[in-house]
Amino acid sequence: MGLLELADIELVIGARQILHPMSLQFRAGEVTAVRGPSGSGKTTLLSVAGGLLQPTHGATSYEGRPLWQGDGDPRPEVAFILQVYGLVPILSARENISVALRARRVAPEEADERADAELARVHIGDLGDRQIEELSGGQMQRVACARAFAVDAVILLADEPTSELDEFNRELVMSLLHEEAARGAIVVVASHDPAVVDASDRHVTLDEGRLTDHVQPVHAARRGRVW
Amino acid sequence: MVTLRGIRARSGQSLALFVMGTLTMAGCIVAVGYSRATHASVGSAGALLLLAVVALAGQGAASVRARRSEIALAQLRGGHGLALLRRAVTEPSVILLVAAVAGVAVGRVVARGAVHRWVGDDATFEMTRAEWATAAAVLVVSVAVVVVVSWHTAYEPLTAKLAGLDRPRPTTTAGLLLGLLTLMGALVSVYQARQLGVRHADWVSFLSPALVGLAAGQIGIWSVAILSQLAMGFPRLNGSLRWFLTLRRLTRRSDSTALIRIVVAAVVVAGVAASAWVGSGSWRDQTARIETGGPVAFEVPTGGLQAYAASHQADPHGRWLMAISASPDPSGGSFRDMFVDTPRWDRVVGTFFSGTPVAAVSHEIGSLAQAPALRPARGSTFAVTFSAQSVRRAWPTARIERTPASWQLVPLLFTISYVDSQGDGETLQVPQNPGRRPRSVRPGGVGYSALVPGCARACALESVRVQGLTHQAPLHVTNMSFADSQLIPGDAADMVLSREHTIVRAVPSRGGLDLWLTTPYESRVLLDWSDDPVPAALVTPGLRLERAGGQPQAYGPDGDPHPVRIAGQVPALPLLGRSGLLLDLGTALRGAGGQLPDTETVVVARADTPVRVLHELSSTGAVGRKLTFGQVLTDIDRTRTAQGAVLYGLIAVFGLLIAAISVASSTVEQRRERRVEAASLRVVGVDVADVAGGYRAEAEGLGAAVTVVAGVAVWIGCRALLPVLPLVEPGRFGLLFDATPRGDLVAGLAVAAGTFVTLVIFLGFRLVGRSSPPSVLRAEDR
Repeated sequence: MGLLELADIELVIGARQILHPMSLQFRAGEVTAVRGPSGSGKTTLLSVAGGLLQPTHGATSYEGRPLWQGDGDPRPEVAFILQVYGLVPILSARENISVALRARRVAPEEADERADAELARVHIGDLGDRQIEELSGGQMQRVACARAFAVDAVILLADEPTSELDEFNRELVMSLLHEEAARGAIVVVASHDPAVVDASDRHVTLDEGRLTDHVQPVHAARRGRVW
Repeated sequence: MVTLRGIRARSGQSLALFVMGTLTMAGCIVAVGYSRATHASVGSAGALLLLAVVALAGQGAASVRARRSEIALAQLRGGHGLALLRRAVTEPSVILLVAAVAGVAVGRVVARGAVHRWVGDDATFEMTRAEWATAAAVLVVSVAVVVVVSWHTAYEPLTAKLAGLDRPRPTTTAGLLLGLLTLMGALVSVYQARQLGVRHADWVSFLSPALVGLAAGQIGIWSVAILSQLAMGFPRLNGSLRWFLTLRRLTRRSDSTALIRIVVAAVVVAGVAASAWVGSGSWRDQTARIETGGPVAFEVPTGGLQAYAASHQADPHGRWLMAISASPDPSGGSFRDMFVDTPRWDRVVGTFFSGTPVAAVSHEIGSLAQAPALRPARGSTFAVTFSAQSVRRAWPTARIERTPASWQLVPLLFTISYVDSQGDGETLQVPQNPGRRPRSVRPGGVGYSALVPGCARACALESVRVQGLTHQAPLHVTNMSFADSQLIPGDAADMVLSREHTIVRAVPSRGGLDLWLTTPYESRVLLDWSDDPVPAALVTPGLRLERAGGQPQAYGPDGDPHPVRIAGQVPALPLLGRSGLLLDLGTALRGAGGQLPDTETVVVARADTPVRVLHELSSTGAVGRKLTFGQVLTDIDRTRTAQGAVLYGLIAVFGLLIAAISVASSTVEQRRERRVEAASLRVVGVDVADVAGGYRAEAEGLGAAVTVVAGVAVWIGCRALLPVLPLVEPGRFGLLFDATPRGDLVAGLAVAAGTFVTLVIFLGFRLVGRSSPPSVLRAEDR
C-alpha cells in the first residue's frame, strides 16, 4: 500500500511563513480532504505534496522517493486538478487530455480514444473538439478532472475540484475521485466545501498555514506540532 | 502615480513601447530632415513613415490589450464609460508622448550628424515645420489608434475583458477585411507607381514599399495558418509532441504569427531601400569609373592628337598610357563619338571597368585598329626637292587662258594641310612666294622649303596637294619631308599617292617620284590617307547612325562624316556613358583636319605607372589637370543624387531596427501567456525539453516563414518599385540605374531576418518555458 509522506515540512517565502512545521501521511485507497478558509495554505500544501514546491524544511516522499525533483515539475505518477484548471489554451478539450497521456508515452491515437472516454465519464463527451475558450467554467473544470483521471495517477491532488460545479456534477466528480482511490490511488482534495469534506474518508484542517484539526492522528514528528 | 505604477508593473511592455516610439519618431525625423537637406522629395520618407505609424500603433494597441484585466477590475469596482476609457488611454499615451520627445531629440542628433557627414561640412540641419509636422502626425495617429482600441476595450462586455486573457485570438472578420484591404492597397499602389514612373512619382509611389510589405506580411500570416492546419493532418508531424503543440499554436493563436506582418513589412521597406542604396552606390562607383576613363587620367586640353602623341612619346611600348577622346555629335544627335587608342586598352585599362557595363568593351575592342595608325610629326619645316630638265621647267610659269580676256601665270604650288599642336587645322602653301625663283639645291635641281608653324610638339599631316603646269615634262621629286616625317622617299607608308592619274600623275621612280600635272590651274591631292579599310566601330544599343549609300556614317574628330563598319555593340562607353560610338583613335586621327570644339580628351594611366613615365608624359607639355577615380567619386558624392541615395540607406537602417524591435516586443508581449502555457503543460507531465522543443519548432517555423515571405516580397518589391523610385539622376548620357534586384542582398536580408526571428523567439520563449514551473499556476501567484 503506497504512502505519501510529508515529513516535518515547513515553507517560508520571503519573510512570510506560508506553512508552519507539520508532518502528514496520505494513504492509498483513501480520499483525504484538506479544508480551511481561503488563504489558509491548502493549495500550497498540495503543491508541496505534489512536488511543485520545495519545502523550506522537511521533505515529501512517496514510497521513500522524494517528490521534489529539483525543477518544480511533478513526477509522472502525480496528477493535479488545479483550482485554475491549468488547461492549455491552444488545445481543444480532447487535446488537453491526450497531451497528458502523450507525455506519458501513450500513442496519439490511443491517447485520443482515452481522452474521449474520460470526457464521457464526466458527461462532456460531445465537447472534445471545443477549444478551451468555448467552454464554460464548469466544463473547463470537468476537463481538468478528466485529464487527471485519464493518466491513472498514483497520487491525485485536487484543488477545489468542484468549485464551479452544480450538485449533480459535484457528486459525479466526488464519486470518480473515490473510484480513483478504490483503484489504489492516493487522493487528496483541497476544498472549503463541507459537502466535499463530508464525502471524504478523512480530513485535515489548515488555518493560516497551521494544521489545526484531523480525523485521526498520524505518527509523531521530530519537531513542531505533532499529529 | 497610478500611471507610473502601471508603467513600472509592466516594465517590459512599457520599455518596448518606449523604444519603438523613440526609434520610429527618430527615424521619421531623420528621413524627413535628410530628404529636405538634400532637396529630395520628402515623400521619399513615406514608406518609413507608414511603417513607423503601423508599428507604433500596433505596439500601442497591444499595450492597451495587455491591460484588459486591469480595466475589467476597474469596471468591477464601479468604473464605467469615460473613466474606464481614460484609464485605458492614459498609460500608453504617456509612454508615447515621452517616446516622441526622446525620438525627436535622438532624430535631431542623428539627422544633424548625417547631414554633416554626407551632405557637407558646411551643411546644417535645423528642425523645421516639416519635421515637427511629421513628429506630430506620427504621434497623433498612434495615440488615435490607442484611443480607438481603448474605446473598444472600455466598452466591450466585462466577460469579454476577463475572458480575453490567456485565450487564443482567432482572426476576426474585421481583421480579415483589413488584410484584404491591405492587399488591394498594395496592388493599386504598385500599379499606380509603375504607371506614373520616376518623373511623376507621387506619395502613393513612395508608400508602395511599405504597402507591399504589409500585404506580403498578411499573406505570410495566412500561409502559415493554412500550412499549419494542413500539417496537422500529417501523422508524422502530429506524432511529435513538440510539433503537435507548435502546429496548434500557429493555427490557433493569431498573436503568434502577428509579428510576421510588421517584420516582413519592415524588411521589405529596408530591402527596397537597401537595394536602392547599394544600387546607387554601385551606380556612383561605375559612373566615377566611366567618367574617369581609367585609374588615373590627365586632361589634355588640346585634343586627341596631342593626347595620342604624348602617350606614345612617354610610353612608346604602350604599357602604361592610353589616349581617349570624346567629342560631341556635330549632327546634334543624342550620342557622341568616342576615340580610344585601342591597341593599348587591355594593358592600360586592365580590370578597371570590371563589373561595369564598359567591361564589355574589352571583348570587342581588339578588332577596331585595322588601318595603319597615325604617326605624329614634330618639327618646323616642310621641304620638297625635285629635278627637271631645266630650271625653267622646274619653276614653270605659263600664261593660261582662264577667260578669253585674261591670262595669268600658274606657278608650281604645294599646299600642305595639317593639324597643329593646338588641334587646329592649318594650311601651308609652298612656295610661300610663288613669284620668286626657287633656290637651286643642286645642278638641275630645285628646292622649296617653308616653316611649319605650330608643329613643335606634335602635329599630323592631313594631305599634300599640288598644282601647276608641268605637263610638258615630268618633275622628278627626290625629297619631300614634313617636320620629322620623310614623305618621299618615304617612311610615311601610311600616306598614299593620289589615284587621280588623269589629272595628277605620280609614279614612283628612281627613289623618288615622277610627277605630271595636266590641269595646272587646279589644286589636286598628291598625298593623302587611304580611304581603306572602312574603320570599325562599336556602338551602344539603340544608336541610330546616319547612312550614306547604305553605309553607316560616323563623325571623325574633326566632325567630318566617314563610313564605318559596325563591329559590335556594347552597353556603355568610357567618358560617354550609355550612348555613343567608339572608334580607334589612331585610325580616326588619320587625315582628320583638327578637332571639334568641346572635345573631351584624357591620357589614361595605369594605377602602377612608373614615375618616370608620368614625368615623361608631363614633360611633353600636353597634359593638364590630373584626375583620379577618387576625385571623381568625391565630385559625384557632392551631387544631390549621391547624397539622396544615403537617405535610402538611413531608411533601410531604421526599417531593420523597427523589425528587430517588433520581434523583441512580440516576445515580451507574449511572455506572460507563454509562462502560463508552459506551466500548464509541465503540470500534466510534458517534459520541459518538449516544451522548449515546441518553442524551438515554432521559432524555426516562423523564421522560415519570415525568410521565405520576406525574400519573395523584397524581390518582388525591388522588381516592381526600384525602376520607378526617383533614386539617381543619370543625365542625358549617364549610366542608367540598374534596378535589377541584387540576389545576394535580398537573400542576405531575408535570411538575416529569419535567423533573427528564430533566435529571438527561441531564446526568449525557451527561457520562459524553462523558468515557468507548474507552481506559477498557483492561485497565490496569479
